[in-house]
Amino acid sequence: MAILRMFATGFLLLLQVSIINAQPDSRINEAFARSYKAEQNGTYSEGVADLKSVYQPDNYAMNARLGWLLFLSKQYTESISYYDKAIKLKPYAIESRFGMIKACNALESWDMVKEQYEAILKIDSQNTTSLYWLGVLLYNRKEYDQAAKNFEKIVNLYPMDYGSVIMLAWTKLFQGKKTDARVLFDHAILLSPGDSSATDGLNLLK
Amino acid sequence: MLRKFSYIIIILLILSYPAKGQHEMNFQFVDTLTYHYYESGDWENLIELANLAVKEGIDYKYLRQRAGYAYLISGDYIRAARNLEKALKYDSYDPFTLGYLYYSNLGLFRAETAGYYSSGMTPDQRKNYQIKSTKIVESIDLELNTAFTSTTLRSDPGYFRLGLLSRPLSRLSLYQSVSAFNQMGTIQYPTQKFRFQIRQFGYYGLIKYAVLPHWNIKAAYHFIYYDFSSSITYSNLGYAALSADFDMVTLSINASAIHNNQYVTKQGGLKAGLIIPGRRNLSFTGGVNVLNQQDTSRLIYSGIVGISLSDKVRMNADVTYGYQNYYNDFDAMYLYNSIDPVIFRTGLTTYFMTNKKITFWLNTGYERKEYFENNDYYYNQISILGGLQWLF
Repeated sequence: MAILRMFATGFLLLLQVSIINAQPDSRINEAFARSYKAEQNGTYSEGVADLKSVYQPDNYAMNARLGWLLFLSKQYTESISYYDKAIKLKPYAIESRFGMIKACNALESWDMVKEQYEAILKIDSQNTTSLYWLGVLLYNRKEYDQAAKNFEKIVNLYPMDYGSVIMLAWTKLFQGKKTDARVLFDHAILLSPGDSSATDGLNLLK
Repeated sequence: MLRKFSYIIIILLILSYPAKGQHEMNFQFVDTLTYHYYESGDWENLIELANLAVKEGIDYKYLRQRAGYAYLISGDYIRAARNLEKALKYDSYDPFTLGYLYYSNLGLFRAETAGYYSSGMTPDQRKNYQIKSTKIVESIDLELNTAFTSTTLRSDPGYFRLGLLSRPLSRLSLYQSVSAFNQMGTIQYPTQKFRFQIRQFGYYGLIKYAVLPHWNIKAAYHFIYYDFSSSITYSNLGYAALSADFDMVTLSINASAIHNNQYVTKQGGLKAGLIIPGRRNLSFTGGVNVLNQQDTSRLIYSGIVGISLSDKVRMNADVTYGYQNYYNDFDAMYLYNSIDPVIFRTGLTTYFMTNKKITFWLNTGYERKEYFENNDYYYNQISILGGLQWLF
């Protein structure tokens, strides 16, 4: 009889533990729902507090969401730490990397921004957002050869994309490839008639 | 209106800060307050808060830049460089970081490392930070030395050296100097006395290059014309060294060879240094060299302790022990080749930085020397050396 009672107690304990483990799903869902509302209302720190109350370190969505809300509440370093956890949990997801880039941008941590764009391009080599902004970053650093490679990829994919065409034109100009630059400035004027940047570039080539 | 509002926020933040460590650290709190401290020049509070924030996991470029700058202004160059290097990891092109890393490394007497950082800046950025990356004449220095011997058999020697430092590239320096030495004396043989006069002229050239931020290579050449009572010796010294500095630690390895018509002297050595972070920049350097001459190898030990007594005064105490016959020191700039080998020497050098341009130094030293003619007997020598460096 005593053995039966012990067995029943043990069974109930196990059941309780499994209920506790299962319970968070609904609590997490509620916390997420509250966090969306908080985001809509602009009360980001409330959303952060809601999520932190049910925080699970190995939950990708929770880390990514905390990263985003902390970014919105301008807690950039904390945002980066949550995005970093999310990236470690799903290294092939690029959304958290973009989230981290936003926070790194705010802190002007350009080496970290570059690192994330490069990581995204390893996963998705045709990602035009990464190609473009990595190109801009390299252009600002006067690394024109590398910048040109990025812009060229976008222009090949989207020949009618004015932003990439004009960036490639200026990059070619600073690379000393004047003929290429002239063709690209002309093409930029075709895409954006009377474009002042392209006109400036052509004037420099005269 | 906006400015008033921001002042109110800062005042509220400062009022909330007294319970240091108890305030919940977050990015905005740290960023606003450290920026305020930076703007108001409150370096002590800035350093304290930045360190607390880093401990709490708040770490970003501007925090490290502000902390680095605060340490630099406070004269703690190791911690300044440490923080600015962290900032560099976030943004390796930031001119503020590069500019003040340049100055931190100058404070640590790591001019080539400083040059490495300034080489990453554009000409306009260097101009903004008052950095001249290349100079035909970076500095001129002059040293005059005399000594008082405890024996009547040797006259008081005289030494003179004039040096010129150039920087053809920001990461590369070229130092050249000419020197002269003279001494008279009497060699007391058992049955006769021999009067002699030594005249010596030298040319020295040293190239230092920063291969990487913390790795330097050095190569030197030292030529010496040695006239011992019309018996002339030409010595050619070649020297190479590799040095690395990692935060507080400096390590170097060197090898050299001197060739003249008497024999070849080979020397190899290791040196390790430690700089204790703080305003005093207390440093300890220890080295050991092997000197090989005519199949005989001898060990020579050396040590230097340095301390900044104030922003403008630094003092170095040095000691070298061992049989120093054709021993070279300070990247082969000094060659101990006098007729009587030094077996022990110690000295105290005080550097006075009068302004940004001029540095004076005064060295008083003691040497114990072995008589050329009888190695069972020694004499003492007290030397006084005065130096001046003019930066352009």
